[in-house]
Amino acid sequence: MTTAGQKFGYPFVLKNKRLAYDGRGNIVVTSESEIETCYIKLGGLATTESKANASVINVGLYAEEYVNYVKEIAVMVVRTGNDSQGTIYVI
Amino acid sequence: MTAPASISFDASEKAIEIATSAVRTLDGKGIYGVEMFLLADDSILLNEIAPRPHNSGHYTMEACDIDQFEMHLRAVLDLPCPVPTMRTKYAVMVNVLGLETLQGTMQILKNAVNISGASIHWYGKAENREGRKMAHITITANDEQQLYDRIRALQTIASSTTPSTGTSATDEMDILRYIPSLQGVSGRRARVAVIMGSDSDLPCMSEAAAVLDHFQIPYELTVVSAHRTPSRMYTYAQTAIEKGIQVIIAGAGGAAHLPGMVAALTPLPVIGVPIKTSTLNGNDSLLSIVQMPRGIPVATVAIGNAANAGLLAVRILGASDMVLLRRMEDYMKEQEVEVLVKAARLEEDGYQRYLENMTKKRP
Repeated sequence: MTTAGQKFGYPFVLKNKRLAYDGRGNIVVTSESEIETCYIKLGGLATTESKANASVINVGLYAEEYVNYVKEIAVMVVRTGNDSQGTIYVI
Repeated sequence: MTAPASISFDASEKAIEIATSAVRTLDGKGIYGVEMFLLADDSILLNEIAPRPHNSGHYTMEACDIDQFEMHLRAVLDLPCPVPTMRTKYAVMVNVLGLETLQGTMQILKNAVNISGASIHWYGKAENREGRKMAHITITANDEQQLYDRIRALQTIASSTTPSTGTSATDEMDILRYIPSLQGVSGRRARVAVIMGSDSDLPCMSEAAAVLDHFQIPYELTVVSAHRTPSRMYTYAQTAIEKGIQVIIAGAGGAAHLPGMVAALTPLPVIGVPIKTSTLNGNDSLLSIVQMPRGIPVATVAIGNAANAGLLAVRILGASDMVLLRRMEDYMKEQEVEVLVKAARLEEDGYQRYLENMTKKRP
């Protein structure tokens, strides 16, 4: 995680590999001194047992660059099974 | 959540391209919610893909001919999936978050029933928890005035039911975010073009830009010379419509041909600003702009009064945009108050003391 901090700079985003979306299962790491607290808050690293249990969240963490965005946008896409590629519609 | 998104045309094309190519790489059928980030430079990053109906698509229940849930079933059941269209011009969806008590959370919904065009969706969750997503309200509208009134009504309800110390009952209840004409300038297509014959006109023309900034109208500003860059002027005037420009403000000095020539090349309204000149005090500019032949009008403002050109542009756009008209009304009231305050001070202080204060301010 220190390497992630060096690579992305601070703040960066730390996420659970499983069941993390919206505000859940992720945390913004603001400085190197915050790393340990954030690590513990997210449940730490995976254990052999947690990896085997699909309902458990802590199967590992990953780090992402913090993005300073202007807006969140979304596109709803429909995928049909009509051909091998799938046809796509946009809502 | 506002639909359609108030982003540039290019950004929305890019977003659709990114979302469809991402979903194309996945297996399965049904509906996918693709969330992205729009950055300040109008570029887009892919964030998350939810392989299911999504909060972002809830507005389709009221606003589209086929909603996201029906579309999902159609895809899964191999039924036809025609391209959906919006039944209303605008849709705004706000999530209702749990307040401290269930009663408090429900109060906003009870009040929102009175707003026409507001549809309420209570999720029936077993437990009320502060900050938990408990419901959503979708507001639909067919013009900006309607949208403005309905969102304002909801905003009033939200602020009156939300305890001042607690969390907000609805997320993102900032009215400005949802009205297209009140959105920030960046990332949007320019509606007004401010052009001038020379960069020496900029100190004057910047006053028009300042007015447009004040009214949060996206604009572009550049130098186009009728005499020194005639072909650029032709192209600029003739492509203004397709760029989305609705009003052109053109400033020029001396033999000021730019406003008139631009007006001859485009059906858009053109406002001319006569720039003050050193030799003839701008009388030359004024007469060459104002004396247009019948058939090609240029609305001409006073010499050097680019601010008025900006205000006239706002009024022209306001003819089909009630929100802008209201802001113009506010602006005029502010001006009235300013003058009344000065008059009161003059009456109170007498002219001598008032004059002294004026000279103190301008040493």
